[in-house]
Amino acid sequence: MAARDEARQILDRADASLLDVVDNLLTKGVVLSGDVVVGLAGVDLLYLRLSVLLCAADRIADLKRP
Amino acid sequence: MSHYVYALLAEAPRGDAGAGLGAEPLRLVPIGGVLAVVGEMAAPPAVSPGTLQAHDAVVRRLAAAVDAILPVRFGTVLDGDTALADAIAGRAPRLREALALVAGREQMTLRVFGEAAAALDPVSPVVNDLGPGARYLEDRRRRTRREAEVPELAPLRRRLDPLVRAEHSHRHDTPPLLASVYHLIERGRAPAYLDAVAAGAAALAPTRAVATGPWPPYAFAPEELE
Repeated sequence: MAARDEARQILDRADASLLDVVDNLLTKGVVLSGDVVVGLAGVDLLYLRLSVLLCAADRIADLKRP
Repeated sequence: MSHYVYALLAEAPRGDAGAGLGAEPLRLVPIGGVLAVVGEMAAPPAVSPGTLQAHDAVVRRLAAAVDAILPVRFGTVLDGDTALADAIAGRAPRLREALALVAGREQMTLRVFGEAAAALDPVSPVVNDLGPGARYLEDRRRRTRREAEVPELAPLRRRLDPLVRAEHSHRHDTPPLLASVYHLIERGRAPAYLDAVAAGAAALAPTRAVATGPWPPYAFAPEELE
């Protein structure tokens, strides 16, 4: 399936909710500490599962810096 | 035990704060006029769809019980009351401002899809009479502003502007996903917002906008804290 068709179908299904949850919880919200525990590999797996890259990977990677 | 932080509030929730994503009781910790909602956890939760949705459910429940909430990034663990106070006290004035902005409001999210990004005005070169440092900063400022522009949404603006109190946006330029736009609206106006998006769909074509929400105001955390 072409990536764009898949993304469109995901947005039309209930997965759109999970997609937004991923975006909201992993790339938004108040950052209080550099110790935010987000495994980059885990995030990548989520994105692979959702088959659409919603947010810039560098924003997530920033959390891994000391 | 460490504090797992869910959200910052301006006031205590109506009723019981309830439990966290691990069924741990939630506690309110006052710091500088802000209330931190924390649960005690031996270890932070792993990232999974289940834990993300459980965290979101806690934030949603809290949001329904207060007028103003700032969700905290998933996975935020602080080692005790002193670390929590250190993380919040110096930022309390800015956090209180942000809580005032989101009071009585909620977030709608628009995903903008299209085959190709609309042409953006080129970033004009920075004038040469600035020093190298000022020139660099000015160039960054212009590029940052450009990254937040979503000209594809212009046909929708007339319908959305009366509903929108604040906006953050982020360009992806990875067709079909072109941009994500986050709008802060008054609580209870989500149906009107969704109607406005639906009514403007024809004018947007071939670009397509998918609206979701209402959400707690995740995208309206103070940016300088990031």
